[in-house]
Amino acid sequence: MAFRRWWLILALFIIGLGSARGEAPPIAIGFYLPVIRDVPRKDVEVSLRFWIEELAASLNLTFKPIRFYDDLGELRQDMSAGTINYLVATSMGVAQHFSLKELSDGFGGYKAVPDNLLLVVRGAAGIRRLADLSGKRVAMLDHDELSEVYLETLLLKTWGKPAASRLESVSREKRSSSLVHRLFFNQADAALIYRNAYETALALNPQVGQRLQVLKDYSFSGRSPHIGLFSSHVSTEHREIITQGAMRLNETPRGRQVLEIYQADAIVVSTVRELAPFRELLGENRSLKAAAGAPAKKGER
Amino acid sequence: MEMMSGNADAGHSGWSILRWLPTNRMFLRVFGVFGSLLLAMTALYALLIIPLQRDSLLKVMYSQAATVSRSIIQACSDAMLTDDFGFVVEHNLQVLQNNKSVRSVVIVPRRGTAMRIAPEGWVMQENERAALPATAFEKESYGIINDAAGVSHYRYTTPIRFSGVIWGVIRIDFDTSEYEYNIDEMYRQLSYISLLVVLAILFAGYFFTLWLTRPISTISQAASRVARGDLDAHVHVKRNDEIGLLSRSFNQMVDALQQSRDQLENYNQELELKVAERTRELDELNRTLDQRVRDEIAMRKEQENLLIHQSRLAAMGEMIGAIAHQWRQPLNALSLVMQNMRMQHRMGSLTEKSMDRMQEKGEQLVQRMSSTIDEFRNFFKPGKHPEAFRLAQAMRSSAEIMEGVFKNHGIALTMECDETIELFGIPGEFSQVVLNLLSNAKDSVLDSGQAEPRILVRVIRIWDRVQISVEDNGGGIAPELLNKVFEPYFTTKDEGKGSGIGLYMSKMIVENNMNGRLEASNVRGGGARFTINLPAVRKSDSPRLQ
Repeated sequence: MAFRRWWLILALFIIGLGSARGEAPPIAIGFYLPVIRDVPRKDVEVSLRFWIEELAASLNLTFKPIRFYDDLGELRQDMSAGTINYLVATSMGVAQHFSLKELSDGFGGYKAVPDNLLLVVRGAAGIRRLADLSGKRVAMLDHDELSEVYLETLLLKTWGKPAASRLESVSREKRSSSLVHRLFFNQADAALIYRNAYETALALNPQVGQRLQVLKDYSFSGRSPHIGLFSSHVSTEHREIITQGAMRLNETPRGRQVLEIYQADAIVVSTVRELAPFRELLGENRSLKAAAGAPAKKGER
Repeated sequence: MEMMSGNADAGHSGWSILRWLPTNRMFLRVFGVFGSLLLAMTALYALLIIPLQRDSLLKVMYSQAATVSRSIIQACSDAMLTDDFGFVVEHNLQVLQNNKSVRSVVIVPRRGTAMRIAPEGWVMQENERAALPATAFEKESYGIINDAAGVSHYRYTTPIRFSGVIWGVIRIDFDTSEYEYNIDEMYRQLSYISLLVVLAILFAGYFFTLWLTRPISTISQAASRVARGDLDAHVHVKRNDEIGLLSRSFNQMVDALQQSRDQLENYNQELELKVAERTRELDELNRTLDQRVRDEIAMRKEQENLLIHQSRLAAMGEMIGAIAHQWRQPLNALSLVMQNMRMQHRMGSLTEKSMDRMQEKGEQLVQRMSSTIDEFRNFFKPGKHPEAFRLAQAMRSSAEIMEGVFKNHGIALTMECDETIELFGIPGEFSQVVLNLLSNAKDSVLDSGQAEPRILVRVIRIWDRVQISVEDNGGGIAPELLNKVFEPYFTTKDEGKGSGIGLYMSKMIVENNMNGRLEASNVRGGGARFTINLPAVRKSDSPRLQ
């Protein structure tokens, strides 16, 4: 789902660029790969390059090859050096590695149902409150900064000290669906799952809803754990031209077709302000850790 | 390529499709046979290829199903052994996502709840185990099935084995739309092929059949013209096959016919000339026909009279011979009487009484000789009118005439005759017939040098017919001559002995005058038999004799 959504964002972005052909500077995209989890990485790289090149050619745009990253630190360095001027990454990762001054507003997909982060527990595990997580097996997505910070923050709030020692295990899965399956088949007692993935699992198997329960629901204003933003080095005029072009795609048949295929309801402007809840959560986490005497993680700002 | 010459069909010699299609039956037949054969071959091909193609598609599906099954089992083996069903579901969802032809995967562990994974979702199902075939844990099974909704699937079920231990069963349902599409495609292609065949029949078949039948039809039309008498009809088929040969042969035949007709016309002209000439001759003949007929009749009459005359002369010869034989004894006796008279006179013993006795004796002898002449005269007195007469009497008359001859030559004559039998005819003619036959028999036995010559005359009555046979033992008649003995002037006797008209006249008398038959044959033992077959006279027919 995430892959499709971000492909949509990119496609619309490029189409938006096409609408401003001849006026926008060459666009260099930096793509943080953990954004897309349900598709093999190589497939993501090949397909994204192919589609973007095809769309760019059809739109007569000047385009630099898309760059893929596993490390947000490297992505930030490239953006600082001007190698890339537009990023697609997890919102919490951007909040951790970028200052607001380095970024400018961009655009992305809008879903009517916000992709909240849920703490889901297996009903048979006997977890009724956060304190019951003690001695339980917890699962979350790999390379998902929001899940890491949110779980840590919850447990710091509950127990007042780093929680790793209170849990039996913390496992990390590459796919959201794997989290649901681990819970369902009693390989985990609790998991942090994004709402869309969870509801998809419920749609695939109604028995999931009978066995699992949502214990906590964390919402954020951006409605998506991922975000697309320009570098602050891109001029406001160019950003507006490109963004306005992208917004017009909601009205074109081709744009509506793409939105329908990738299950997005509309393309909307994404702002740097949407990083605020993540930054707040991150700040709360840091405060709690500081209170508990735990060191801050490397790269965090 | 080929054309027909002549003026009769000049208006049809142009090439026209419409002219060929409806009227040329041979074209239609050959075209029909050609087309039927091709259609039959296409149908046969379809009948053979459809099952093979279906089997082939099913084998492809089986191969795909087995591969997918092995792939799933291999990928999930660790997860299955460690009861990591989450991975199993995850993997199979991935399989379903990557393989759109898979409709569902059902994994039934030997212990535990079955999982049913489909593109629309997955679920744990207790009742899946019961839905499996009884042998699902033992061997694989496969085939196309229809579910409750009437949707067809290709279902493949196989046991999941790890190191020989059966862990469970995997059942995969495949979408058959591709199979059905391929089947439809096959039918569609066969339809196209059939359509192409039909077009090929219409196109190639038309020209092929035209190529095959047109020269034949051309020859046929030319033959029809020839049959109507138009010998100018020729065909020009420039081909080196049998049809070309037939064309050349046809032209040769027509040329030969033309020559024959020319000759025939010449013959006719000659014949007409001859007929005209003959007609003239015939007209001339007709004009003189009456005279010719009269001349011919007169000539025939003259010949007949000559024959009769000759016959009579022959009979007279016979009669004279017979008289000579008859007179020989009384003449001897008369000589003796005369000698006795002279002796008695010399001896003076001639008395009045002895003179009277010898005179009486001499008169008796002379009377006898005279009666002999009367007999012969009576015998040959020609009768004018047919009448009933006694056969035995007529036979005896003839025999008595020949009696002297027979005695002189020692010929034994035997006659067996019913005294009551009567015939109708001219007695003299019949006696002449009998005399001819007896004379013939006499000559035959004498010529043969038979030591005991004999003649047998036998009369037999068979109902209302009388059969008179005269047999001798004179050696018979050569078989090749049996049909010739009744021809006039035919004789085997030495020159001067036979005239060759006796048997001819006898046959004429018997068959023309007495309504009978006279036939010659040979008898066993060496002899000839002449048989007269005559109608007998019934008592009621001859009141005068009674």
